Amino acid sequence: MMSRHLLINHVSSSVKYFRYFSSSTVSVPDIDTNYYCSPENATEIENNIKLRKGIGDVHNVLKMYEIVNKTPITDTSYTNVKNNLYKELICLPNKTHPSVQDYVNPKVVLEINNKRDFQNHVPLEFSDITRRLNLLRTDKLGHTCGHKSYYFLGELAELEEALIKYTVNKLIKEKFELVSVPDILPSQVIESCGMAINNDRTQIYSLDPVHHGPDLYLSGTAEMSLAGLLMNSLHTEEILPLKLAAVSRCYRAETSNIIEERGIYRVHQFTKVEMFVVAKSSQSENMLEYLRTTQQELFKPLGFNMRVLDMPPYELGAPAYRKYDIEAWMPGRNNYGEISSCSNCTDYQSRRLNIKYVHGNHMSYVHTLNGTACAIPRMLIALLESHQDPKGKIYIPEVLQPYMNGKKIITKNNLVPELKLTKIKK
Amino acid sequence: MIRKSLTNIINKAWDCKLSQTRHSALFINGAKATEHYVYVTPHIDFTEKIQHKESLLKELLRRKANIDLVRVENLWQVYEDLNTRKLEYTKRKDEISRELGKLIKTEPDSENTKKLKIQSDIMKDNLKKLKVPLWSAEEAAIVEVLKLPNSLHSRTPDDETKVLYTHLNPPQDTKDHLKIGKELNIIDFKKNENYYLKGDAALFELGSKFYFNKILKENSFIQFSNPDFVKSLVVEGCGVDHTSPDSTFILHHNEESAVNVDNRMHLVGGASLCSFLAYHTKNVLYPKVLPLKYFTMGRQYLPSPCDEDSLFHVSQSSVIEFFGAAKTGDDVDKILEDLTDILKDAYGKLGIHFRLVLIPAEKLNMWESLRLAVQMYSSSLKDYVEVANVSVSGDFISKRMMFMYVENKQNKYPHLISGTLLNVPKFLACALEQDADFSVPDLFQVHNWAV
Repeated sequence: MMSRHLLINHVSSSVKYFRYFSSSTVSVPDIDTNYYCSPENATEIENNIKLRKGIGDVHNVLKMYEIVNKTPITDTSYTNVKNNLYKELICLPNKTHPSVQDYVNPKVVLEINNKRDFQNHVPLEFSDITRRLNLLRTDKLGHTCGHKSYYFLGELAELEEALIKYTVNKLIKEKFELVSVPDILPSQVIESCGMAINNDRTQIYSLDPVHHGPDLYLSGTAEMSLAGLLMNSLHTEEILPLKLAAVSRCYRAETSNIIEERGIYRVHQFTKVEMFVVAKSSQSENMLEYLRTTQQELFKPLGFNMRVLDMPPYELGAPAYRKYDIEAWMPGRNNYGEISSCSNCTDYQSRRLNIKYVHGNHMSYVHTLNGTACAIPRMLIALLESHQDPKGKIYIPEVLQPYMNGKKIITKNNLVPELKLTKIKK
Repeated sequence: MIRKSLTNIINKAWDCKLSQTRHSALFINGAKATEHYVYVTPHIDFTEKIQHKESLLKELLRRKANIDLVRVENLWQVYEDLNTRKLEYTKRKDEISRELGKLIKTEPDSENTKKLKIQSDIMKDNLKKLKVPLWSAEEAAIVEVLKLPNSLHSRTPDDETKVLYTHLNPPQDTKDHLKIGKELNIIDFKKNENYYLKGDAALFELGSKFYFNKILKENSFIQFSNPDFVKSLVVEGCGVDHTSPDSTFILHHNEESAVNVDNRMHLVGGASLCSFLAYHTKNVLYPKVLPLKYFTMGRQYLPSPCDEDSLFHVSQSSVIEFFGAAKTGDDVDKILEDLTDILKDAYGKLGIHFRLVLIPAEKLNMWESLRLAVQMYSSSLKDYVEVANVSVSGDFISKRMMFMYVENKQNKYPHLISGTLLNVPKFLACALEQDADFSVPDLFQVHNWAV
């Protein structure tokens, strides 16, 4: 198998994994019971849950584990009690990196670029800039495409394309392998990433179960679809770390009425370039630093002020062992806004998705990591608000100019006519 | 006498089985209009259309459309009759009111005044009784009228695909893109609803889109980035059955309000005609801004038409979609001419056999009056596959969606032209099935993304 891959290497993908289960679903996640069901770890686990403001009850787990052990495999109730144990087990959060366990607040580890001095000029907000320059439409769309919809017009749409090209170009140089992913996924893939789909008020969009089958959801991030690609796969040691990148559409059902999240700051649909890494356990800590460095290298030339944060336990969600966020200064909003994050999920996802690697005669679970390379809407907010000119134009960062046909500034878009709603009623 | 004829009409309406089931997100009237917010009122031009009944019938025949024009006409007649009746009552009522107005001052208690008062009450009563049957008749007629297809463009061929232009020769070998994709490890195909492109296939996807974007920008097309969801009324407005799960993906309704088949959210993808129409619905333009030429790169979602695994039938595609609006049919024909040259040139530089064809009437969608297609040869199917297309739809959709421009103080409907100028999965599949070994064309490579 390997030799064939070498032969066709000029066009071939480097994702050289193979499936060892024919099924595309994982029956029971392989949670580390040695750790989670051992009474001497109970205090540590309990503290971790508290620290992370997570859910799950370790004492319940221990009780159930005892019941499972007392129940003979031949007993009719065995499957049932075992399932109950695993239902409890999968709720538990990942362990927390020792360096951040004591953090109460995010720790600023690095600040990049200075805040721009606007002197007497009060910087405008993204929505005002785009209104003046006719680059965005968000109003009166509720009846035709739903709440919080938006259209980028003219050079703003070009800037989106430029950001994708710039980002993907850098990731290809970094030897990331490009993957194009599906946006409609079965629930199991989404749940295995640590996302809960339980009721109608979910954060995830789903397709009408009567019309399209009961189990189809819209991907919230390419992390989910890439995890689905890797589900039930076995890797050779040599190809790790495996670095994947995807440009995809992300769908999020959550709404927000917070004033800080107005405009296109939090939207239901957007384009994102995502990085995903599969590594050996010994590599994952370094790979998290690598992802963070890659993000810094991507964002720094874009010229806005930002800070890199090492996140405290309660900000980690269930899957992450450690997480860095990058927040950009958005002068129009007069606030920082999260533009990216990267997480080391250690074996939390791989145990649920069954992703392993072979070393010597052993098979171990891989560690998975993910990071945002470019999330378009917030990147555009940071860029436009930071590079606005008092007279109304926008400076395009030098690194993006080659991807915008050499343009240096964005000016008022006179090519897309402004619309007027008709008042005609029959 | 009036009462008798009213009963007749109502009976007639009943016979036509009005308001049995109806599904229109576009046309909502009567009592339903108070329950649901009515956003658009489609412009109905059936009266003008039916004046040329012979040619209408001929076109339905050429399209092999399953439409009973006599039935539609009858429904329309019922509606017209009731409407005429309503106008008569209103006119009569107004006359009575006027007379009554005069009399009530001079002889408030005369027999004549009393008589007129009674007559006025009868007219009001008649009008009231007419309301519901008129709504039903109007709804029944308009719902059917909205199903009538667009008129055909003079260039649309009758029965057979008309080849306009051919570039290079079709491949000789037989290759299967999924097999090659697997061998090269660049396609991981689980099913039509779930597939991954990896490595060079993923690069091909991005590179081909950027290549077309560049060409369109050079030709003064304006770039857009569109939302992926549209509501039912837009789907129906674009001539697609919004109730059918084979036509669009319908999102789960997870709000607490009751489910209404005519007000659902559909996942169509930003790079679709629907998404461009959602932008323009119910909006007015100044004539001087026309013609408009927009494009977008993005997703297109379409439920898979069959079970056979293939990139030709996938439900998610990366595409370049274009949208144009102009004042007249001639202006639109000019855009079509320009686009034909652009497509010839853009596809011609890629070293793959293709042909430009006009699609025959029977294969057109109901909203299209003409379709030009770029076809490539699939050596696995032993047939041509449509990798790109341009559709002329005239003022058909703009009339349904109240998309207008005002000229000389008159509301007019722009003529539309639209199409998918690049469908990546279909194009990639054909590229993999050519005689030469697959490689990403140089024009799609990263070094060509920037100036």
